[in-house]
Amino acid sequence: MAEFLGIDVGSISTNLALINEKGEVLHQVYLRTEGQPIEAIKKGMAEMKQNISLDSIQVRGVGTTGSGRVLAGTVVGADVVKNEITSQAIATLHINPQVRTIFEIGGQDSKIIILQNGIVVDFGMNTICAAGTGSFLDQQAYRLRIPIEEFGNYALQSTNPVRIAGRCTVFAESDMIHKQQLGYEKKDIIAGLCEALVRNYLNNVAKGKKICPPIFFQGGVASNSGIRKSFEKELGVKVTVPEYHKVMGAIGAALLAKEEIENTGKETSFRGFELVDKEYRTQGFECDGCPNHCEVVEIFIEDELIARWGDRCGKWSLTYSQVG
Amino acid sequence: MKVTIPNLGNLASIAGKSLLSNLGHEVILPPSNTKRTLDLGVRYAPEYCCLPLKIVLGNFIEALEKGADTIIMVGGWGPCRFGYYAEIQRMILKSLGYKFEMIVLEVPRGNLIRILRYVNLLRNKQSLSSLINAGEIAWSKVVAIEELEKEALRIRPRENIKGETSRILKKGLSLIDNTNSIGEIERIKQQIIDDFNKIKVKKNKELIKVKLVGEFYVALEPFVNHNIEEKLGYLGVEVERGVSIKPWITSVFSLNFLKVGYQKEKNPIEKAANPYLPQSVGGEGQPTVGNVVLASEKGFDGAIQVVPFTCMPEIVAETVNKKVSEDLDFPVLTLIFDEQTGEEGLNTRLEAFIDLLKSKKYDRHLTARRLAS
Repeated sequence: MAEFLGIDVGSISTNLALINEKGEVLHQVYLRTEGQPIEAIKKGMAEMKQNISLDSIQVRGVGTTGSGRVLAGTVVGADVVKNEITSQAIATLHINPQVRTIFEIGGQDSKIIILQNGIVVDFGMNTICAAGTGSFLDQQAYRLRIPIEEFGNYALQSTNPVRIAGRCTVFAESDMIHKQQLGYEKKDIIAGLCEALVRNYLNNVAKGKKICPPIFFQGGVASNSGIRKSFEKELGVKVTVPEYHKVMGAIGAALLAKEEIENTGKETSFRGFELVDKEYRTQGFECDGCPNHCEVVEIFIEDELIARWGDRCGKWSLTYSQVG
Repeated sequence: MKVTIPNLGNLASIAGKSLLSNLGHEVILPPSNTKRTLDLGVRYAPEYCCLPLKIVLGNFIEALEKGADTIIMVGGWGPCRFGYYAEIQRMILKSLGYKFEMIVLEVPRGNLIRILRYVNLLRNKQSLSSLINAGEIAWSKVVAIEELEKEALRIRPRENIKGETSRILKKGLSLIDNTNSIGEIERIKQQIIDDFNKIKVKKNKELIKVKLVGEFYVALEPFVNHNIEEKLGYLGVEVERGVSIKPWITSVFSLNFLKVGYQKEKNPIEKAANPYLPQSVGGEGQPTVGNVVLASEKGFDGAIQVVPFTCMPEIVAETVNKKVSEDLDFPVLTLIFDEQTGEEGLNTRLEAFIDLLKSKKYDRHLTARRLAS
């Protein structure tokens, strides 16, 4: 058997997907990065190791993606390191080649990807503001003292959403507090927040883009049925949340690894599931070679230096793989 | 008089310095742009100003610390805020207690008296012939720098050993910096171009060609644009710049009434922008649109627009470009730069855009081959 592993290290979550030769998902893991990407990767790998029988599988290739893709690629020994837009698009087209629009809302990033005849023809990402991303919803859920998983259900119960300003999280938050103080119900405020987030997304991230169905909605925030409903209400078309919406990036990375290995016939550089038992260590220092004072980071497995980066001039750089 | 000028890629530190020192000025260049330059600029400039103002302010502070006492800055006119920058910087620096003179070269717009006044200021009591000589040397340096940089942009995506092109370019620039003869500049330029051509190149490499358009300073200053040209080169992209300092210099010193360096005809870039943006909106707004239109006609695969955050002309251009891009089926990526120093977001956008251009160019279905490489 030949399996391929994809790892998506994002700002908020770290996701893993194991696929077989046919591109079917055998196992998925979704966990929080909690600011410690290496730990998250190890935890995810450990979880995967527990749930599959290692004797029956052979990982022939590994791909990484997400904002932590280079670090992840170094830590696990990836064959492909790819940006999350391409990875998401690959996974989506693999599941449904007809999809024309992908909404992807993650922890810090939100993206829109426009597809035509199976290629990405346009994409957009939030630029300067994290309004309407997962971490904002997390914060508001915490403030309202409801678990984020139930956020969507609250919203669905509302028949009378309250209007919340959506342009900026600061505006949204103060608007929300004011409405709360006036006594509006929690469910109506939450539904209003979902609508504000969707408005903000469509006006900023999706600004000027032609949104054509079929639409796939993926990323962590897609678990929130309130947001999906608001999208459908606003656009008047069906929005599909695919089964593996949380790990689409990881699936895409695994598919890319599969292609890479099949095309080149290379042996994988995967360090194996043993890496969960190894000690990874990072160490930083400030270079005083010039006034940039770059913060250089070194990554070690046990005591072996495997990568070093963070310098602008390239004097220290020692990367495991080229970003590309 | 210890003169300083702001950094601008390799142009100011080599050609600008050459002009001034040949006129007998003692030139104190600001150190290369670093995080400290950025920190100083951000600390003392108004928050809502754009990054170029802040970095240049940082340059002046660092040059004054090194002992400069005279600042040469350029002015401007039109809807872009740039025209006020020198004055704002002067006020900020004065309020910080620095003692200095500031010479602001306003665009003369063909005004002979103004041109003569600047010439006189820069001349430093030297003869007219030495002024012309210094000008000629500096101009040759500008031409040589831009040509070598252009050549490097063409070779870099093809190089076999990563960094080879940049290494040779750096050597060439330092040789140009150290010579003071026009013949020598020409010889060095030729030699470096020969060296470039000797670089071992990869065979059958799929190349993508991208036009770099947008705001002048952000496009030309690698510290600000996070070395975007090099990054793109390493991603296998041949870059051509849409901005150059040469037309700006000629426009400054053109004499309308003498028809010297003055063109009655609209320049081709403005002409190309015409159907979409028929008038200037300040800064490089209109040229940005024109360059995108021209790039689509000249076999480029896409364009990347670089914008300092809050730049009005470029925001206008960005919006107009949406229509251009749709009409001409020509992808344009807009990148906004501010004081962020993390590069991951930039890398992601660049990589994704290049993937997009590749699959468009080779009509490659994403589920099909080769995207992995």
